Formats: sequence, C-alpha cells, structure tokens
Amino acid sequence: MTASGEADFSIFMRKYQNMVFSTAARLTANDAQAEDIAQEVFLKAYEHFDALRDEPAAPGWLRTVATNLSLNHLQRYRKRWRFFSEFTRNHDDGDSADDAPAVEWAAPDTFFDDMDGADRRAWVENALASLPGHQRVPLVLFHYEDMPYDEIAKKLRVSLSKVKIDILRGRAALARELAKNPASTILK
Amino acid sequence: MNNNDPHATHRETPAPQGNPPDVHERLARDIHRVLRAQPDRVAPAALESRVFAEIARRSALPWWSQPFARWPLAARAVFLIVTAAIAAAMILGLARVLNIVPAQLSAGSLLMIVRGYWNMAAGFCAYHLAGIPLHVWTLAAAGVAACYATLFGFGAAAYRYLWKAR
Repeated sequence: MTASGEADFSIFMRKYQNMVFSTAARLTANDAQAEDIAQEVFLKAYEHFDALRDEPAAPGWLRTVATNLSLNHLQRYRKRWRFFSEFTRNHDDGDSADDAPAVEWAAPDTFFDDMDGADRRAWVENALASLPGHQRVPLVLFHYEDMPYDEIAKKLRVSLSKVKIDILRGRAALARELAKNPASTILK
Repeated sequence: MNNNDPHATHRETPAPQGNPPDVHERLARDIHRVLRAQPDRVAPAALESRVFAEIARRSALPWWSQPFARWPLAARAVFLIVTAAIAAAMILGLARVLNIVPAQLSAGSLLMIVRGYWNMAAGFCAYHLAGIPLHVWTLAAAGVAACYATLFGFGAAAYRYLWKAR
C-alpha cells in the first residue's frame, strides 16, 4: 500500500477503532482480549481496504467482523473449559427463580442520580462486565447489535428458549448491579 | 411470534411466575435505553501503533514465509507440481527398491498393483484382528477408558483447585 493509502487507513482506523474495541470489550468483558481482537479486525480491514475505504457499509462490516471474532474467541474458550467450569457455576449461573426482577422498577435515570456522565458510563460498563458470559453475550448481541433472538441462538448454538431466558435474566441481573450504585434511588 | 424484530422482546419475553409481564416490558425498555445511551469505549492509545507494527512485520516477511494463499500464483502452481512429482517419485522409488513393481509400468498395471496390495493389507488386518480374543478387546477398551477418565479427573481437579480458586 502507498504512503497515502496508509494515511487513509490511519484515518479510517481512528474513525472506527472505538466502535470496534467497544464491540469486542462488551462481548469478552476483557480489555486485553478486546484489544487483540480489535487488532485482528483492523488487520483484516487492511487486507480489504481497497474495497472498504469508500464503502458506506464499512462500519457494519467492521462491527460484524468484531462480533464474529469475539464470539469465536469465546466459543473456543468455552469449549475448552465448559465441562470444568460447570463444577463451580452453581453460585453464579443465575438459573434460580430469584433472578426475576423486582416488581417495582425505577426509571433508568434514577439509577444514576448525582452521578456525572463519566462515572455513570463506567458504572454501566462495569455492571455489564460483571454478568456471567451466558447472560452478557446474548444481552449485548440483542441490545447493542440489534440481533434477533433466533440469530443469537444460531450464533451461540443454543436453543431459542435459552436465549430468551438468558436475556431476561441478564436484564434482571444487570438491573440489580446498577441498583448497587450508592446514588441510586431504585427500590431494592 | 416475530423473531426478526429485536425490540419485539418486550412483548414476547417469557415472564417468570409472580412477575407481571409489564414489569418485564418496562425492564427491557429501560435496560435498552441505558445500554444504548452508552457511548463507545475509548480504544487503547496503542492500538493503532500495534496494528501498523503488525502490518509492517507481516509485509517484511519473504513471500515463502507468508500464508500459502498470499504466495504469487506462479509460485503456488510450481509448488503443487513439484510436490506432486516428488511424492510420485518417492513412492515409485521405494516400490522399485523393494522390487514390488515391474520396470515397465502402465496405468492399468499400476492400478492392478495398488489393488493387489490393498487386498493383501486388508486380508492381513482381518486375519490378525479376528484372532484377538474378545476379552483382550474388552480389557484394552477398559484400559483406554480408565486412562481417559484419570486424565480427565486430573484436569478437572487441577482446574477446580488451581485455576478457579484464583
């Protein structure tokens, strides 16, 4: 690639690197892994840059590649440790009926009374990252990637009903994490 | 049920007992709003330099050290022809050394020879495997299963006590 091509790629990267990194970080809940995945995404983008540089669908392409690479990474890790981790999952898998949300629900803004924007963003990201993977991943795919249930089920190779239940419980667990905010006025 | 509309969740999400569906609808809406209000996270400052360093490292590699798909087309064609020729020469050379093929070969006779050796090998295996008593098979299978279970147990214990405990 020419020097001007590299400069264009640098601009391209700066434009989309936060989006790519965020996608990977929210799915993996691990910044180091997300950085590796983001690097891989941009290496692929570099190989296809001639086609991508003027392509309006480039952000979608990057997001899809970031999502797929993150899911591949998680699947590989999951296959390796799935059996073993099930020994100690009882306390954190959130499969009990207690995961149902509280009946009373505060409006989202009241999660964050007296919190400034940066603290609020960090609180939400940390709350999301604290969810177990089987809840966090479908929740992120659904709410951030706008992926329908059946596509999530296909991507994660689980049943449709499991996806629905995991998303439901993930929301409740996330709400509980957000409600731990000392400034929150949510009814607990 | 419409599974194509992601926002249809609020209507079709299964409700646990004792929780009215509108609570789940509201929760889904509120969580969606909270998550979508999140701006993108800031990528590490080193990401761009890492990517360019990796691009530079990869392009500095000679073509034969790069993935086969990135080799020049002519090099790929030559490689395939040469490796196929070497493989054929090795097989024929070995067969000549062992004196198991005639000096003059035709395609038909080569096929006959291959078929003959295949039949001989299959017969050899069938004869010797059939001679092994059933209890030896059973013991061997049990031994393999025991080894597998032991290794699996060690792995699970190691994970539980060394990894998960951290």
